[in-house]
Amino acid sequence: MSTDAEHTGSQGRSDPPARVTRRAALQTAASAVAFATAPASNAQQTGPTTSAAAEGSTIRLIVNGQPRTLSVDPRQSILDILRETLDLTGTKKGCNAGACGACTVLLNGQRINSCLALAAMHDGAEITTIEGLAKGDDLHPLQQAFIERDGLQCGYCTPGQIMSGVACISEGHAGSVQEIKAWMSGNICRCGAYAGIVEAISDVAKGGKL
Amino acid sequence: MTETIAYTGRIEDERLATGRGRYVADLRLPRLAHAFTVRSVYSHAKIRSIDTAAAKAAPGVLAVLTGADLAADGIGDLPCGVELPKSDGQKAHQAKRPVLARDRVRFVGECVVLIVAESVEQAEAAGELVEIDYEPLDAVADVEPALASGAPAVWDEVPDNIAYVWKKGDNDTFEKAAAGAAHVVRLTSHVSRVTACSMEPRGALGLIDDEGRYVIHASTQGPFNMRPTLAGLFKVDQSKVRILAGDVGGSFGMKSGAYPEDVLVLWAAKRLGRPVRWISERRESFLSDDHGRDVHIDAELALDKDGKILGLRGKFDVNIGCYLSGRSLFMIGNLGGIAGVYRIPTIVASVRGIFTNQQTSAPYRGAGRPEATYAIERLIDLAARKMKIDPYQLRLRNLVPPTAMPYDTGFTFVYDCGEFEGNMTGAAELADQAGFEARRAESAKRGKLRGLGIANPIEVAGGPFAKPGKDYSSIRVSSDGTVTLNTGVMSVGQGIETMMSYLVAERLGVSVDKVRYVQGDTDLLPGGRGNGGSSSTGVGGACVAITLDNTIAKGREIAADMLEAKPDDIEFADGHFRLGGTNRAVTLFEVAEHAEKANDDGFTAAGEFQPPSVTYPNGCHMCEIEIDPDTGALEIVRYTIVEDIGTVINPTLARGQIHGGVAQGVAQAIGEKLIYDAESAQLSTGSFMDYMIPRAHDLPNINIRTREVPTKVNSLGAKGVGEAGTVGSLAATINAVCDALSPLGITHIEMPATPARIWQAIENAREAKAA
Repeated sequence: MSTDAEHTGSQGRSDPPARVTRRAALQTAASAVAFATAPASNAQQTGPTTSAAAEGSTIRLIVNGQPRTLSVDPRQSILDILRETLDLTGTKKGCNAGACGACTVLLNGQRINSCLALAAMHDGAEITTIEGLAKGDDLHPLQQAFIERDGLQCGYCTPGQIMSGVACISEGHAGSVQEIKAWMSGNICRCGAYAGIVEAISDVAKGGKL
Repeated sequence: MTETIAYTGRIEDERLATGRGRYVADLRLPRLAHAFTVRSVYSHAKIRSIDTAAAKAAPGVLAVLTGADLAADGIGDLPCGVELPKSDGQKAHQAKRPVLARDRVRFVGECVVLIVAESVEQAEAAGELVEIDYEPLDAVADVEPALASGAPAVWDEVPDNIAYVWKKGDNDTFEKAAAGAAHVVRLTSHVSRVTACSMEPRGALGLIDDEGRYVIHASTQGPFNMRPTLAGLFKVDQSKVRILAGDVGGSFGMKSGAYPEDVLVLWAAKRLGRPVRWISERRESFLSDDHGRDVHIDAELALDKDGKILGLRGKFDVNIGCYLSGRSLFMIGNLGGIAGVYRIPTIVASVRGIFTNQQTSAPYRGAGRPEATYAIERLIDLAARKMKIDPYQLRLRNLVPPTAMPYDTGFTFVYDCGEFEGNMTGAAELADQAGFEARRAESAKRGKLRGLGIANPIEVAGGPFAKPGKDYSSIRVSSDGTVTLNTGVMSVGQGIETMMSYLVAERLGVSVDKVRYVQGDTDLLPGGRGNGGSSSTGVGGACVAITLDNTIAKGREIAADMLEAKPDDIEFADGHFRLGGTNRAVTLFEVAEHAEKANDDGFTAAGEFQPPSVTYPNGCHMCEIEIDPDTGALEIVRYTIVEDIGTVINPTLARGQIHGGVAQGVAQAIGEKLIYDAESAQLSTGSFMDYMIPRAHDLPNINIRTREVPTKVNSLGAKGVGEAGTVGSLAATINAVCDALSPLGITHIEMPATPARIWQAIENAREAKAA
């Protein structure tokens, strides 16, 4: 995640120090809230893993069932690795701050904001992205349900919504419309297709198709 | 959709739901270089000097460029082109937006230095090494301080910060009407500054192609709008510029012009001989996407003792930010909606554009329409409250009846058709308005305040109203069994690919999977409207209908040749051209094969459509809310809309548009607002953590009924739908909040009606009552 100084394009001595401090504080608070309200799996991100500080760490990941050995910059998030190194561009960058859910992927079966997860900290992890959901030409039931329920418009948040929805169901958090809305609150859809999104998740949860 | 082809969901959805969408950031090109812009940290400052030496020496850096370099390359500022007068009667100062600020910055987030590097991380890191020596100046961050005497001037040439003035109507006539009125109510209110927050941030990838042409892949809703601007800046013919838009992840009006970063990627690509990409970070989006609304309203409504409206006067001060362009004039073009669906004998209104040290404002879903509707619909509620008349009844008393159509509002709009009472009675039934008082009493038993808000929006679509824009489309029928459609309008999420493909499939009698839809390529058509102004169906769709006519006419000529008959004797149905009265026929694709053998063009046809006038989607919104007076928490318990969007082409897509529109209007009413620090003009709400974007649980279930009164302006009868939900929901929601609070003597609350504001209003009312 970027430092706040870049928010206003820090130019060293010209910066009004008080302003930057306040903004940095806001940003830090924002991250804390994101961790606090996200599903429990996010706690894993803070746990000790490999020596992330080393330049050019090599890590192994299983991405959509494929083993991958990758040399990563310690600053790179799983999102950046997926998009820029592995060319899996289905996962979207919406805010790079864990606040919109567009980058949601499954990490060891649990949903995370991949923009907040440093790749170097997840050596050995198994990752599922939107590209890994369908079985050949057969769409995943939730992908199909999103289409049937008109659960998308511009499509940019959709991969994140679907990955989050898959986890929402598997966690057992899709028992009612209210429950789905609450447990999908980390995923923003600016086009306002929420009605269809909730219906799609509800359909699949009720149908027990997962 | 007609019955002929079963609708099985949007065509684009399988691509988008599997991660195969093609947004700008998903493009992969060899030797791609990455751009990062160093932005101003000050809202208003002189630039004394810029030191780029350290940044230039940083790892991976390919170029560090400033406004001086732009000037040396002969690239000027983005155009202004506004002819309106400013307050002294002289033509507006051409306050052009620079591509990179040179000697002065005017808002936080303005591009000052461009860095291009092998990776975006390297470019950002180099950005930290740029030293800019600023001399801070006093700044203004709102209309009121900008208009105060002695206020800092955003432009030295415009000391009063009034960028432009516009007026219409006769003030004396209004004064006379008001003097004879039994009641005059006044609304002073601020329609807050908000931002589009498309989930896909802005982005652009520039390259120079093999022919030396400037090619840009952009996240834009207006390729054909962007092309002349870029051609002008690079001093080349428009044919030397190609704009390509792939999938676009939302835009809502915000992505409709050329931005500085679009110029920068092309300029850098030219200088470096490599493709250059810039993708906005979210923090940059909040600062540097064009903002929306920010209109200060001061309006009065005069009524006689029976509640008949006698006159309306409105003053609209628009905070246009620090630069002026045609995009700063959205409030003027769409202001006509203040006439509402009512007979108002005299309307006088003025609009002023006010400079501040903020990012420029520009069209955002509705673009002046929600503001206009908010003004008239709030005034009617204020009048109803004052006169102790039911707001529903007061509206009914003043409606323009269908028999008065076409109806000249006496201001700027002439409505072609509409059945406004039908909208209202339909909404009242669907919302169970009759049962509202019982529900209000039930809420009161639980200690809650319940309110019902009504708004009757009417908005201009397919404009501008003075001269509607033209759209183009073309069709190629190929012998390989496909039909390719190019449209000048484009989808940025609305499902237009689907709507258009079905139009083609149904008319030509082919299955929908044989239709290839192509949008967003300036090489393929003479022009196009892009997306905006609720015009994709009413103008773009109607244009496709014309192109389909032309396709069939062309096919009859070719078929006549094949069947040795006259074109007039050829009939077309179900994909076959048939010689009338015989069983001799050729298929659409056989015609294509014949044409391809005969000439290089093959079986192609083109069409264009410039509507004779605009259309007026209209409707009735009813918003019902419940407030917990102990916390100020608000819940929207039901939301009902009866919307006349003319003929409905695809009900699913129309419903989605109305849903999304309501979401954006409701969110502005209850939570969204860009807040700037009054002194420093720094943005305080620059992330999703402190700017309210509605989540699933913030929005109600929305009951929608469409009520089709087809327009004759276009062959489809469609009026437009993209903005309808937003235009009514701002007013309906605030009216509902005010209705809930009215038992406490509260007559008005400013948006956003957050729990804190509502709670404070309740506390103030209780204290006032106790005193």
